[in-house]
Amino acid sequence: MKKSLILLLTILLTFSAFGRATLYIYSWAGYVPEEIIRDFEKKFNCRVIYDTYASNEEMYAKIKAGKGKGYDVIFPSGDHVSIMIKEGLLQKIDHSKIPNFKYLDKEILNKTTFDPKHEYSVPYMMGATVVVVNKKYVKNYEKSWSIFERKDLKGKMTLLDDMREVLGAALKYLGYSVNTRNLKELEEAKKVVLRWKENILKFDSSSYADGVVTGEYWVVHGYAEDVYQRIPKGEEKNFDFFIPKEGGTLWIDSMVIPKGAANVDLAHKFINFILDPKNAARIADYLGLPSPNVEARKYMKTKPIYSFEDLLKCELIEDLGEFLEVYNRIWQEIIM
Amino acid sequence: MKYTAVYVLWLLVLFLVPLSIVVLFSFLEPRVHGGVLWSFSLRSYSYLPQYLRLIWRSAWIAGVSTILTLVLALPVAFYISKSGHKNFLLLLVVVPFWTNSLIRIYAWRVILGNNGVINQFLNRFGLEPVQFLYNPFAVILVIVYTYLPFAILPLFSSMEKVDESILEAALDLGANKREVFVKVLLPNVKAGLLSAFVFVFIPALGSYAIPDLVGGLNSKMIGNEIARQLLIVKNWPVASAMSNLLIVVSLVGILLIMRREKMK
Amino acid sequence: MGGEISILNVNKFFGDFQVLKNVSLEIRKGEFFSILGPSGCGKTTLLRVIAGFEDVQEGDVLLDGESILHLPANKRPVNIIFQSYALFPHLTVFENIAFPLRLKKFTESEIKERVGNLLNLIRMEEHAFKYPSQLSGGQKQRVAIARALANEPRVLLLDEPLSALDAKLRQELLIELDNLHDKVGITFVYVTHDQTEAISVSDRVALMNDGKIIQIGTPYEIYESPVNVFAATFIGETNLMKVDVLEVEEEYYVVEAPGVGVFRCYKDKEAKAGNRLILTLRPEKIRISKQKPMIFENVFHGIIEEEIYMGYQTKYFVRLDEGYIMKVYKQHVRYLLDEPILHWKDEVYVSWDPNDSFIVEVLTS
Repeated sequence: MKKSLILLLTILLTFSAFGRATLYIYSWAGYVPEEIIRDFEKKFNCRVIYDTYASNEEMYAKIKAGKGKGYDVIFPSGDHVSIMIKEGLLQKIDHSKIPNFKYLDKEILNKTTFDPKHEYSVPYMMGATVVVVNKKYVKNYEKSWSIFERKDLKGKMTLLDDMREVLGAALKYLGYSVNTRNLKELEEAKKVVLRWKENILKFDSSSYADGVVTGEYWVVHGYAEDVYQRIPKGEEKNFDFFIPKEGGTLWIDSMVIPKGAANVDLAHKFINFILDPKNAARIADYLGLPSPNVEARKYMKTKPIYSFEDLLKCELIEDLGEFLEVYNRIWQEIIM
Repeated sequence: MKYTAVYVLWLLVLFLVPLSIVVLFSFLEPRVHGGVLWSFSLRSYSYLPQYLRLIWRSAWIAGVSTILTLVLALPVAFYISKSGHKNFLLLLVVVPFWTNSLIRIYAWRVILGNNGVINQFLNRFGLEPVQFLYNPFAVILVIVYTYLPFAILPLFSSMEKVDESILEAALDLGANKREVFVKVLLPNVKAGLLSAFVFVFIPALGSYAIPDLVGGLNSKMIGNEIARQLLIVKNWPVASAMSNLLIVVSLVGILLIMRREKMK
Repeated sequence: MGGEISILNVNKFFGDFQVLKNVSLEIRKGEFFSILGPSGCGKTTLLRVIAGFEDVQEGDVLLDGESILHLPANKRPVNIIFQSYALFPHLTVFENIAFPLRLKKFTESEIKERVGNLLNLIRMEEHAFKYPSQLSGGQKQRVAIARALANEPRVLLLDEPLSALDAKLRQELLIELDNLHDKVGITFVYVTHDQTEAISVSDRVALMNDGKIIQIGTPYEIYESPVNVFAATFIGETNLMKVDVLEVEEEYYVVEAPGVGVFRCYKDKEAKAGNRLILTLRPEKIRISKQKPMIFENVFHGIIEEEIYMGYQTKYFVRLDEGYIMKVYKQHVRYLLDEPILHWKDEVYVSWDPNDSFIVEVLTS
């Protein structure tokens, strides 16, 4: 009797402690500025738990295993948005609860082929996979994928350990689509990557950002914001971020609400809060990227690492469905 | 009785069930974006032969690392077992575990990297930088470093049980120090050697983070491929089949060693 | 074949603690020499110094006249038998004995022959292929001896080799050791804390206490003529008495012991009237009877306070009229047909020959 009373009290106490609504966010580390989250907590008197993943794949494996339960807002990249839609892991967005949607750039909204009508996703941020050069070590270079052909930089460069990104880069270099289903084009791209492989130190997705900042690597293929946040104050001029002139792969990360979300209403409020122009400007400043929010651009204080126009040369990586098997085989032949 | 039940439950929930899932999945068809289709297939095993090179590389990296680890651990364990400050020295052996292993692997990049401490030192004296990392030897070095404590601890505990007087007896009967070590000490710490071997070889064979961070183009191991198959290719059955292969290779290795011990 | 060991003024410290204090010893060729002493007296350390497991801070150890201190243990022609046997658990009896021979690269046929001979010597032929864990304590001990002899050492060192065995086996193995010593003819240095072992088989015994040599002599000398109180009490049991000299005669002193009375003792050390002596009187040298004996002097009356029946003898504790409690051991031989059996609370007379007591120390007052 006494025991069950204590149990009851414990449960009551737990409930009161967690009495405020809690929003569970699953995103990349450092992707949403801390102060934005604190402001949201204050405004809506709630708690936000910000959990992080290191790759779309890791996020997907977890959500898939949990059948979409456990989180309220997730930030997948385009291809994973379409996978998650197909797997039935997402729920539809109620646009009546997101009035700030109107500020989003039409150019970007047209590029979201993974969810053309934005039934399931709202773009958060977009960017391109870039080449980062440590200018302390490399002075003269052309802003082209051909930098990976340079024998004099052998052993000082890395490519992402990611088949779509690397094959995509090679395909763009050859003037093809990053989503090609043409075997001949893919074979050509494979030859290019094998040539690049001669010159690179390794395929690296986990430590290239530290590597290029510390001078361990001189030229890396990767995500600008990963590197940008690690550059010590005052050393910005030593690093160049460029989108090769041939164009590259574009990524759009969107906010989605999984099927099993516990707090759907709060999730919508959060998405709307992010789209508020002043908040969107703070986010873009923080990440060093151009904002997809037209209104926000007025409030931005910094110049992004690359311009919005540069992005338009790039192409979004799309889910290839069963055809991915071919990419897998080709990648396998490259890395073995 | 009560404890047996807890033990069986523990084994069942934390060990047998997950293992059975992995075995089961390896015999199913993959779904495109992860998961499995419930139809029996041996297709994932038919992929394995193309990984022969990878398997062979993983095996030799793990094997060489294990032998080096044991060679280094033996004298350390012996010294500690004879020391008057056993507890303190054992504490020192265990101290590295207080730091996350990823951080310790990164530390090796700071020390041996192209722009690392040693190369900066060389540079100051006008010497050409040496590329220590991004090759299989760097992977071996860091595996040895990481798993050395796992070898020292079982070796220490079996050396501590060896009666000091049999070592003195061997010396007294005319053996030199090397002969005492090889002919008397080693045969009497076989159990410890075997545990140390198992504790080092199995995790080394399944290494993932070490080849990822300090390896280069030619030092990916089977663990990296399992992760890639699971996360990027999203072919769960192939990932499961490769995991099973890893288990079988480890088991066969251990059984062979144990049988050789018995035959002797 | 046996070697001669000289230990010259050896001092050894463990940190601040001095374990060996100016120890000097001569061990003769082929001798069965025992080092006897209580635990912690330094006897094992001394043995380990000879074997080469311990170095010394001062002094020298000679084997046949040459210093062996600079030689490591594996180069000294001496072998040791450990208290714990120290057999190699991973080797069979045969291989244990063959171990030193294999190190010396003997041929397989030589090894077979020599190990065979040794197995024969210790009567263990049928156990040749057993492992140490399958042997009894006595068997292990014999294997350890055979293994130590395989090298044909000049000196065999034995560190309490029988202490882990039960009493009956100890007796048997002791006799066996003695026979073995006679057969192989090498010098045995035997360390023990058991005075019976030391006295029964040794040619000579060194008695040690507190890092010092107390007395060296034949078992008879050690037992009959202890040099001090420690020697008297450590070996065998005895009645120790502090006595005052009353009168000096030609061969005897007339003395008075508190609790006993006035009696005569043999004058084996010089003393004057008024000196105080310490006297030892072995319990088996004392007669006990109901009737007052006619022939002896040194007769005292008392009551049996304790009676311990041992089978081969009975120990009596007799409270003399003056209060001293005297230990008396009586063998079960009837000297007189009508001698009654003595019991607890019986009134008795104890008596001894004045020649049977021995003066241990003369205390000058």
